[in-house]
Amino acid sequence: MLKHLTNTVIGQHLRSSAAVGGASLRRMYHERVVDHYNNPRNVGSFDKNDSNVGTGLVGAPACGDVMKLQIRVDEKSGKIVDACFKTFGCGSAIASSSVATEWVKGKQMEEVLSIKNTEIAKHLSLPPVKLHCSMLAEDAIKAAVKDYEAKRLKSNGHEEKAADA
Amino acid sequence: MEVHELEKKYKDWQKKLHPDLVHSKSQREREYAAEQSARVIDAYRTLTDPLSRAIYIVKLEGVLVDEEERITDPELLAEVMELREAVDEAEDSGALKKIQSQLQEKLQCWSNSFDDAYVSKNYEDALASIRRMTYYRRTNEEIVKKL
Repeated sequence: MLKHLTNTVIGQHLRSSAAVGGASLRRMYHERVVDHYNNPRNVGSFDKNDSNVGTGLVGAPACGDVMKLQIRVDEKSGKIVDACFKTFGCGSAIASSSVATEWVKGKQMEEVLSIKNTEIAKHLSLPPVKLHCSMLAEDAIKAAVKDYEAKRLKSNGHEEKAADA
Repeated sequence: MEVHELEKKYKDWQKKLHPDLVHSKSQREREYAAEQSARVIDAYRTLTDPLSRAIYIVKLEGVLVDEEERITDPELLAEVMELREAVDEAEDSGALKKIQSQLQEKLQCWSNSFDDAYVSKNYEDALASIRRMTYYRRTNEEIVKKL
């Protein structure tokens, strides 16, 4: 009878800790996404005509998502000094772009090109079905850098022409 | 098939199949009629909505819409951004309804583009039209939520 009692007590303890573990796992699963959704960092817009600004505009048509990520670059150091985003789409897309703006700040442009969607997805614990939202954020970062570099090339070209004339 | 023809065909089918009209027949016949009636309703709904109709029609040709496709088309994306921002900033239902009627026009316009592309077997353009219609439909859903 003592053995039966012991087993019952142990059984109950295991069940309750599994329940607690399960509940906290459920909370963590969405916690960061919810946080970025409720307290989005860096929502806004820079002047896209500003020569220091690179704008990345990407979209996922099947979901109807559209994501704009902008970087402000310090010309001399090539460092991203500020970033902002505007995303219309699901919570995962909004959170992914919010995280992206946080991660690019203070980094060199070459550095941010190596930010992988899998890192963003892991940080937010995105389920497989939402992985493409993090891909969208990676695309947006690359597009913003590409836009800035294209602008730089264009303005350098004009400078050279002026020097020749 | 024209839309008004579609409606007439729909009504004809429903006359034959409607559950209320077959209650005198056997159990099996009634079940069959009910099932067919539901399928007719489903087909009608799919074909009267320009977007679902377009997706269905290309599916028949083996062309499937990629659920995870990502695009960088600057013109389309800028337009969608503008529309979504307008919806976001709209202050009253009047403003929202105005955007809604713009969206209806765009949907119709791109539905016609889809038809042209499909008829000439230009599936790239057909898919492009579907992409656009999906964005307009999604924007409309946001308006409906706000109204």
